[in-house]
Amino acid sequence: MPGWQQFYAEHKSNKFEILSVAVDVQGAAKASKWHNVARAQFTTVVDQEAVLGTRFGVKYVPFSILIDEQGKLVRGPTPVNVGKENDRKEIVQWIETGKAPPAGGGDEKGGALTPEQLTVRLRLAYAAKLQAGGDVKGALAQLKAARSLYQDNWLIRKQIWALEHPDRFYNGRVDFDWQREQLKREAEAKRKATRERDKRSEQLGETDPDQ
Amino acid sequence: MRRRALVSILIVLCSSLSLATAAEDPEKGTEPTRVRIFERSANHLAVGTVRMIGDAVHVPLKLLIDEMGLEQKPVGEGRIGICRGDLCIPFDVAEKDGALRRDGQTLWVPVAPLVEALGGHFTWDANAKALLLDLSDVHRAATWAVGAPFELQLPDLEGNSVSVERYRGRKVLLYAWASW
Repeated sequence: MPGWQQFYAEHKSNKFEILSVAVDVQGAAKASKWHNVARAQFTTVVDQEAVLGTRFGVKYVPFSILIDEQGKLVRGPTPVNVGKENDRKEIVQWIETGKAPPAGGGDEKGGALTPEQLTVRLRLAYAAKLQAGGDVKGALAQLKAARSLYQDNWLIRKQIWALEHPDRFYNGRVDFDWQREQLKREAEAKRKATRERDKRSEQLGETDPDQ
Repeated sequence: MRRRALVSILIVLCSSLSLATAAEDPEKGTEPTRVRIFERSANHLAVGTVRMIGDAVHVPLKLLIDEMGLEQKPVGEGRIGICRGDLCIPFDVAEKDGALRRDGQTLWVPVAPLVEALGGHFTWDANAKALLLDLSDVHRAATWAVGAPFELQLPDLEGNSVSVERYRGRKVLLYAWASW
């Protein structure tokens, strides 16, 4: 955020805007802290249902899109890091010359949402409503149901962590070491569940009269 | 003790009998169940009843009118239009699939054909006892392409709706991030 505020201050006079989109089922409260600490002068909006990620099929943050003066999409979803000189240079060149930066390697277009994507969006919206009403357990159940429809989605997976383990996220800093450990624990739990399932089906196979 | 055991067996028998009748007679449907009903486009949560008729989840017409922003308009003899603005979905008031089922004072609306005709989306979550509805046109502005106009509308930190349209005449970098 502070990096983007500096970038914004340097280029806003050149008919340039930043719109920051905070992806958070927990709403504005969590996002506003980071916006305020950075003393951001651009607008931050809140995407509680991960609508942008769902629309683009992007399962991570941060990413950027570029829109021109006519409101047309110039570049689709692309990972961007304001701390990287090359990322900055591409955007500055676009601001100053209008020359679109090279495509980020992601999709160039997207079709209508699938029924699964619509269900994910609906469940995230309901999770946000439940969370806002203090029903964290109900919100988690919806996030987990959404996650089962949308594998490997960091936008959902990490928000499940944030609701289950707020102390690892909102205690002054985000504990990335804990996240790495948590990934290992979940991978191990998954391997164990698979092993047990295989064992059960082997046992069933032994008693199958058709065998 | 024995009498109590007998009574519980009787209760179990009776309840499984009534379940069996409901399953065997799809026209009759299950008893109305109290659930939470959420509508995404208005971000509205209500408590209401649903009823399964066959595999199809039904809601009372009154709930759709009172709580979910839909309107009821007459569209001919024996038919009712359930409308979102100018778009009206006609339903026969009769005792068959895809029609409104009258039961005493209540008209039960089948959710699937209504939502499909409105271009919306729904999920019935039996575990959470929640009917999740999106009664807006869910495919509006969902497609995107490089070179095409891009639409997005989301609330800012104070809850005011912001559209990317407001930046017309300037270049915009949209940056998606998270606090987690």
